[in-house]
Amino acid sequence: MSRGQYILRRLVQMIPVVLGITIILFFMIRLIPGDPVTAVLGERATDEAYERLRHNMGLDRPIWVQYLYYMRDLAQLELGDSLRYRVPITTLLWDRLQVSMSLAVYTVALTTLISLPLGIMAALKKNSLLDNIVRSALIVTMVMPSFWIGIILIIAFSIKLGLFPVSGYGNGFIENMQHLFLPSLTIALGLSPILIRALRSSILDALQADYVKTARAKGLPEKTVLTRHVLRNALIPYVTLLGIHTSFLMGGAVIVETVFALPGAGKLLIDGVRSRDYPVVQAATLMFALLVITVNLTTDIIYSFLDPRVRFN
Amino acid sequence: MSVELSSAGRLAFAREVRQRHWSHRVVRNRNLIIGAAMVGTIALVALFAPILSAHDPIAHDYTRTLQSPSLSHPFGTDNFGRDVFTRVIYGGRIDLRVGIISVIPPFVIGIVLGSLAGYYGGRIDSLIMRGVDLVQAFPFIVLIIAIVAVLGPGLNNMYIAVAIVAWVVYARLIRGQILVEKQKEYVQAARAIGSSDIRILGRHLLPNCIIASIVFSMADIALYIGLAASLSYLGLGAKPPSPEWGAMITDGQNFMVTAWWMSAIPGLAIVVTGIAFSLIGDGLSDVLRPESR
Repeated sequence: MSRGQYILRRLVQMIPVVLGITIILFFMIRLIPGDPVTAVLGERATDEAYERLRHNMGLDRPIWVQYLYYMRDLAQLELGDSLRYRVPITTLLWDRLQVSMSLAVYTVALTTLISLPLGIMAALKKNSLLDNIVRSALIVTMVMPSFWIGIILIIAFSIKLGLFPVSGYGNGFIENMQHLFLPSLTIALGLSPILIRALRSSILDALQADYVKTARAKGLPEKTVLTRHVLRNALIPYVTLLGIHTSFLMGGAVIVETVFALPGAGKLLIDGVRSRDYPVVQAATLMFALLVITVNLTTDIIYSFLDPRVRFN
Repeated sequence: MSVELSSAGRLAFAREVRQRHWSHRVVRNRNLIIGAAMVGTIALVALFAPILSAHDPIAHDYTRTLQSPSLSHPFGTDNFGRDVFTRVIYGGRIDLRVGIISVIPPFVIGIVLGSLAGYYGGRIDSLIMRGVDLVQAFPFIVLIIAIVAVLGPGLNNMYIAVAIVAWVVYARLIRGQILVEKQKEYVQAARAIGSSDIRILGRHLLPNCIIASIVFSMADIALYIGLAASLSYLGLGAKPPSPEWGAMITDGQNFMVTAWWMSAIPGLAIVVTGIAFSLIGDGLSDVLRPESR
């Protein structure tokens, strides 16, 4: 199978998953106790208004017809209206998605800045004081709840030192970057331990490999052995792992956006849950799921380019 | 030609045999011992909370609000005058319980479905694995939040949400191992003497495959304690007067500058408990799978 066919097959495999996601979300919203029409109109609506909205929402039709309507609306990017804000959810989501995406990219950058040097140093100086300090610190940051890390960072860097804004997103690129620093750092501190551990062990594995022995035996300088042979191979699982943990990153964003009052998609989800704005919850959850499967697919494709040994079957 | 072992050789051999026995590795494993001791201590402190503290974890006392740590209140008091030490040790009852209860349903569901998928393969396997793919398409916490949103806030609904979401990890782990293990000779032998599928799975395959899941479940306990805390923070978990650690951090958030102990101490409790379970997990993985060291 060629790479093109492989990518095509992965795309086709996505179809049942996407369908499954829509089915789950469609039925989940129908499991909510209470009536969606009453949720929109309130308790005091007239019978006539009730029936009209019920018909407009398609609730008087068979459930599978309702699902088809839902799918048709999705295909047209019609996610319905927010019960709370009374505006189309698509507009609500679009602005907030940009904030969340910036947060995600910033976090990946910070995570790489933290985990790459620490992972490499911990592996090359195995069992040294540095290695032990890094590994102990990792256990601590790994079990710290992200919202608690966020609160501590706000106290230290925003309130005591005044280096970063406490909350919000700011205006313009530079302010945005300042506002996003602490939230990104919060997620990065939770994500880095996993990556440092993995990088350390894959470098240690690579150092034992025959091709490294060969490279040393033919008299290559140690620096070349490390950069050309060890790191190049050890970084492949690192990239994959970074992709796999997108899910973790998105989850982190939901909580961290709430801690830092960032107007992102995660905060929209939480606000939706708090105000029982179910169409918003449904749409935001769908969007997070679609993001995760898109990133997973992209990771698989990047992986097939990075590692020539990948077989497409 | 016979091989005569020297006395030093015999001693070394005897030592090796001894070291191979798991009980010997348990005693020598520092992580496991320290982790178990920490969890034991936390559990005992939580259990004997009424003896260890004379204060009430819930009742307000407006004569002693926001007092800094002192001899009578080692971890200070909160904005309602409640002793933070008392609340933290009572909170241990909630958080330990949440961590342990949360892990059981996904563990059991995952083991059962993962075994069936791995053992029978074919349609059963594809059906179960498509379910796994579906659940994994959602970010873990997003799906938990969405389910709790539908079911309503509270720790009981969190257990249900975790059961629906977290089984996939165990199912994947156990399936992968059963796929490898079922090719081995002892399984073929069991099949040859006419053992039933249930017997082969229960008596032969599972005991050999379940170890990784048990190790994983320890780290998961730490994860769920953190999750319960996060849900409380988001207003979807334990409700206010409850001394659940996450709820305590949330209560203290507005007093971080003037009364840091209100949030810092329950946060430390989460970290210490999390480290304890992680150490047990690491230790167990060394003891049960010595080849992976």
